[in-house]
Amino acid sequence: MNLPAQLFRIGRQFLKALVALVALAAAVPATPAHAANREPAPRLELSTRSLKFTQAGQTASLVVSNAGDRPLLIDGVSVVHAGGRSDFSVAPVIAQTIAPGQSLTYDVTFRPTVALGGRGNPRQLFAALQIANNDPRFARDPAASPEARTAHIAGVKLSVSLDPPLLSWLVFFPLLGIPLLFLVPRDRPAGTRIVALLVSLVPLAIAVRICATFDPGLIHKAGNRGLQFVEHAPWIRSFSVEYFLGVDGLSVTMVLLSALVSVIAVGASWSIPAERNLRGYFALLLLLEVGMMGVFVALDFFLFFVFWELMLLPMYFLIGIWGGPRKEYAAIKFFLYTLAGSVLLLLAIIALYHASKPAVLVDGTPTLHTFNLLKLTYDNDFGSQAALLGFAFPHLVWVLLFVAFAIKVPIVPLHTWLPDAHVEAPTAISVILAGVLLKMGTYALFRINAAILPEATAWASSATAWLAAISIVYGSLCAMAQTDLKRLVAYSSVAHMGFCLLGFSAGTTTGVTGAIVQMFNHGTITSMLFLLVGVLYDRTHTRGLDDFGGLAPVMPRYAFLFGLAFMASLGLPGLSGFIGEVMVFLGAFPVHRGITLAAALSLVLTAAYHLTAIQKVHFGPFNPRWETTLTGRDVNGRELATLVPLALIVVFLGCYPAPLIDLISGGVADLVAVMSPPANVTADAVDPSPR
Amino acid sequence: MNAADTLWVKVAHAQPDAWLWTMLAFPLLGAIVCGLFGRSIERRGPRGPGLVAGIAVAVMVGAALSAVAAFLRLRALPVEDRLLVDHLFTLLKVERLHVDVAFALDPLSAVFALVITIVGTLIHGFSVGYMHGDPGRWRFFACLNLFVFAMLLLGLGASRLLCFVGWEGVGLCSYLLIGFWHRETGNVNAAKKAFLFNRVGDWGFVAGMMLLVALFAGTLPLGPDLERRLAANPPTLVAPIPHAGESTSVPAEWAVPLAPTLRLRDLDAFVRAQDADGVPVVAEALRAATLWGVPLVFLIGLGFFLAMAGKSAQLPLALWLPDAMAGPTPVSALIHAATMVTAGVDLAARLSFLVGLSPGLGTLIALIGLTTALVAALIAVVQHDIKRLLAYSTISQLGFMFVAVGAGANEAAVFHVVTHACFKACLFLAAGVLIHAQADRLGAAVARRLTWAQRRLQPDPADPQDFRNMRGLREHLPLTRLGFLVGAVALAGLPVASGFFSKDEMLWRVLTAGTLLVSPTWIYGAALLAAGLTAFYSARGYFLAFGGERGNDAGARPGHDLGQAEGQGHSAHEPVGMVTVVLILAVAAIVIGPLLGWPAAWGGHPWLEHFLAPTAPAPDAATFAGARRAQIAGVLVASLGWLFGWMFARRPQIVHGSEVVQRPRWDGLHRLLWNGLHLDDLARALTVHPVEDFSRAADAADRRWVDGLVRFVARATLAISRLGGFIDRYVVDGLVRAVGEATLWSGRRLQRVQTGRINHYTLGITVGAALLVIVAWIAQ
Repeated sequence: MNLPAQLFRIGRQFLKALVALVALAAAVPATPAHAANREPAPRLELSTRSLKFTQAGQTASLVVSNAGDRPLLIDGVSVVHAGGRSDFSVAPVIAQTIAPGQSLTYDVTFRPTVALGGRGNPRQLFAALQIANNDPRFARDPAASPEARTAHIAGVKLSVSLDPPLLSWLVFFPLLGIPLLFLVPRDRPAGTRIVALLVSLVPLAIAVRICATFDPGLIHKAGNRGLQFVEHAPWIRSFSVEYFLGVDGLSVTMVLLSALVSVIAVGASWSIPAERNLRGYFALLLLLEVGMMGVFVALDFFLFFVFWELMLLPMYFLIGIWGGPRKEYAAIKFFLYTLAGSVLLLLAIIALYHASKPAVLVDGTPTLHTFNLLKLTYDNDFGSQAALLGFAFPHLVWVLLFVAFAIKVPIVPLHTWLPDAHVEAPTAISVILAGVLLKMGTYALFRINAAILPEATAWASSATAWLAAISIVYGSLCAMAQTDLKRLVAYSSVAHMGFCLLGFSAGTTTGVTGAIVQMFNHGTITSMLFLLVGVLYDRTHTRGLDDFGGLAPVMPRYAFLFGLAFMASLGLPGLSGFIGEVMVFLGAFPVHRGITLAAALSLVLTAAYHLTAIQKVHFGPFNPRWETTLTGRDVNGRELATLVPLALIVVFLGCYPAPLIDLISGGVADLVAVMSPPANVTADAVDPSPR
Repeated sequence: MNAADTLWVKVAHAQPDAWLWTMLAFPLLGAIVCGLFGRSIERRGPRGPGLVAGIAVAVMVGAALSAVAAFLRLRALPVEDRLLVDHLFTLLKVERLHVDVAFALDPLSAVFALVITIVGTLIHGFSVGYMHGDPGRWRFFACLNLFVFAMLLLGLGASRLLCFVGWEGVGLCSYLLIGFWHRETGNVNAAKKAFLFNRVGDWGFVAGMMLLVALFAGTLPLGPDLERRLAANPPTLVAPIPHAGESTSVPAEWAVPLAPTLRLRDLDAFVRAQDADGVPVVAEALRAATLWGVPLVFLIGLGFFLAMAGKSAQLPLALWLPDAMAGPTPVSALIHAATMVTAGVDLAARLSFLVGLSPGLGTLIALIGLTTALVAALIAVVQHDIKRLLAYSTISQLGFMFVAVGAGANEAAVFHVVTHACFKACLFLAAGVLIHAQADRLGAAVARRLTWAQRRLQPDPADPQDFRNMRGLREHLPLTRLGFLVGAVALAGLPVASGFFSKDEMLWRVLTAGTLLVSPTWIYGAALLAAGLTAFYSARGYFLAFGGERGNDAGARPGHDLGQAEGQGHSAHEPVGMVTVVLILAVAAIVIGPLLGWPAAWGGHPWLEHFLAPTAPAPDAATFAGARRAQIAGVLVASLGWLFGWMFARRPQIVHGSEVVQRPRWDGLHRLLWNGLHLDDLARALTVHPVEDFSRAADAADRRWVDGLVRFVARATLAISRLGGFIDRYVVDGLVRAVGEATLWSGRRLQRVQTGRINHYTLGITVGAALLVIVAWIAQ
């Protein structure tokens, strides 16, 4: 048996184990288990663990009862507010004793001290009711003496939300669509495709609504740490894992991009032949969408990791089953490469978790450590941690995280999975891979490396800038040498993602904004590029650059879109690829002058290989080999339906990028404030000129 | 530093204007309509192509009218307030940098806008005839309209970033139009070459922008120190004013904060700003600042100069322009002669405040311009191809303009831009008519695929652009000849034609320049030499194309002679529409010089100079004598050059149809010049080959080493797992099986002990007991 097939088999076994693990994690009971034969003890029962409020002045009751066989002492009840406010009040607050079998009712009243809704105001409020008691099950530390009663805290979540749980719908709706797919009979491929399309349109609608109602002015100091559409609930209390979703300026554009690219990918999957298990294909595609969306909205590190891994499985099968001739090799390479990163990520997560300060869950339950990404960002300083293996703790963890995410971005020299995966993957999967998956790497760099370990990010700034410059120049040079159109586009992605890394390494407002703008624009442009390659491949079953020529008069519409996309990709001003690039340059130059100048040389290299590609495909004499295959077969309506929306976005954002930049401005301001020492923050915050 | 302390600098008072955008909207609309729907309109019916061309010309007329109207509005303003600003929307706003989509019309951009739209309209009109019958005409007009839009964006954009959009936009259009006939790989290669050379320049542009933004962001050595100084010494021109907030209703045009900006107008104001003691603090700080040991201003200028050199074909980046002649001739006229290539001059004129701060920069620009002017003029002398001759002439003329800019004579350079646009467009369009006629005439000739070296000595008989295939055109193309003659005379700088006025103005200003680090006399002398060469090749080109009698045309193929078409009237060779445009431009090439710049030394009133620099002091009458002397010298040199050129062209060069190759007199020099001093080969060897090598090496390394390492790790892991499997099967499991089998074996052996006889057992018990006793004893 050959190597790839063997590895593929191993991978499949591994996947089974992983699925089992994830299932196990999900099945861990939400309350601590306790032995059946227990000591006589008080037993606190709450009528609910979550009180939801809808309007000011509303009062809700909480019934606390004692189901044990000893008296239950309630030492006190207090409300824990974020940001030191007092939106909720509770009565009575004095200490009480509840006899076995008795109960007591508490009234919680909501009187907001801040405005809810409207521009610049949060739309969600979270607080927690902490009930100090003597039920040993609530002991933070089971080994503590029974006298340490205040350590026994039962919590109740108090929340107000003006929004429906949009993010949950966004993430999990595709999951609901999967059974729908299997309701369609196997011999109805058209029906399957349409169901998949309709299902993928729903997250897009939700994402558009989120972007439309997203308030860029709601920044960290305005409340909820700058997050919007927050959903926050305990998930696995014993490991302080929470179900914590939310979007801010860093992620909101990525959510839109994922939803958009998913729809485009479903549209591009029309050419998957019906006999190749279409339902399975679309089911995996939708599952992939769940993972992608989850990564961008999850704000609990554990949950983030679950989504991060969840996205791997469908991708693996989509390449491995529906891919090209070397699909198994490419799939297993992608999988193992990414998994190697995941191992490092997991180590880093555990290290950060154990180094984090005690915190409370959203319902007030005290925990020793936290997975909450925002708490890790704002409430923890890892600089004081003891050195690990001779390295400063933040530096070591930063490197682990960086390598994990660099594989995804990918950053040279960890990029070699990308060309293989792209070449073997079907068009739609390439679109998702380049359009969304690569952005997860850079997104995570911002969300985790830059935010949680800003000091280490500054420490590694020069090194990352060098890596970025190398990725840009090396990726461009490699792209120049390719003869396979898809490989060329794949290497161009390596180069273009290098710009995001350059912006990341600079850490200036302009640089970070440029990097995120570049992430979005690269997503749309590269999707177009892969779609265009797919159009040609569907007709001719080859992607060799030297096989074509003179297509422009034969397929004029195709030539126009091809030219537009390639020009956008080479960073032509007026199209969206330019704006991110130039902002990265302007933002990175003050920090890394020489490196930025060198990286900017890619202007020339990029133009060289893009123009060569255009020339080899569209200009020169027409290859008579395609006389019957291509003549009169310009892009059809379905292909136009996937390409034209992207083209419009590319042109619109190229001429008028302000909406995109506004959307991310608040999030970037917060992130840069975290990344920079305070002196720079004030300099950045100076109000600009009136024009 | 908080908002209220931001330092504000007064800038020129700008008049809000709500109509500048129309100038750009017309060509953009034309480009969109022609580009998206032109193909289907053309196919709709026999009148379709005419409709598309009509749309393209109509929008140009609209743009020209809009430009004229804007110019009149601008002229109506008092001289010190001549600035119209049309603010549309904010492009991006990040940190303290604001980039607006706003158009600014000052005298300089007004002149450019007029040239672009009026010459552009004429050339559009010419193209209707020239491109008649071409299946891709819609594409041609779409690109041409888009070009005009991008060019106006470049000229009118208030921010350098917006200009950069136009800057690259014209590059794109140039690319699309050079490679317009894209079936020919050569054309596409020429287009790619042009784009890539321009991209190198764009790198400089981006680098310049990076430095400009960093300049007042406090991230370069200059920033905080400057602000401290300004705060310590309360300034007058630089005055803190109350923060005006975000409201756009505030007349914010009169003061800008001392903050990162990409508007050169603001930077200009910063440089001129003075503190209470009249010290230009910003200028002083800029002069003193260095980066990597190089003066900062010089670095910024260097970046932008690279951009100018790319766009305006100056020396390290000049080599794309001759190849760009692969495009249709109207394109060569509009883009590669009249407008786009002068964008560098526009930028240079706008950056003159940098030149003022760094004499080294001005000297560098002047020297490179001078070298380019000389080298290109020399190469032009030996060209056989009419368009390549004109291309090298364009490079050379641009070199003159850069000499002037480097010497601080911006007005003279812009004057030359205007006159050059007229006479060079006239020359190119006349050449276009000629090429059309030649193509008809040589249509049946069999093309000989000649190498570049072979073409030096013998023409390709089917090449309509080769002088050596032209004989006796004078009679068949009389009006074209007239147009070409006027253009050539203007180019040569002979008196009365416009080139004379502008060129001599430039040379005179160079001679009196005080900012150069090298002797202006030397530069003047060299430039005069280049002017002589210009006259030489102008005359040579004209006489080669139109000189000679029909009788000399012994080798022309019978039946393919132009005379054959005589029965159809001369309009067969000189379509009315095309020739009209040529003649209009010819008239312009004569009158525009005296009209706009009759020198003050001869009692005139140089209007353009006053328009561009209204506040400049009037020239000293004492210098008039010198100016006259210089002008007389210029006329003498030009006349001499023209005379030599005429004599040179009279020498019979090639005998048609003969395979005998006649070598020129200075063969080695001729070959060197023919090969463009091997600059192209040099550039190829220094850039293209290394990059290609690097690219191949990177790809090989990627496959072999980077990916190889990954595969090695995979193989190694698998090998280790196989080894583990082996150990597991044969060592660990083997041990287990060995234990089991040993037990069985020993059990079978021990079976024999079970004899069932009481005496054997008794013996066994006795021996065992004895052994136990012994062991116990030893153990004690």
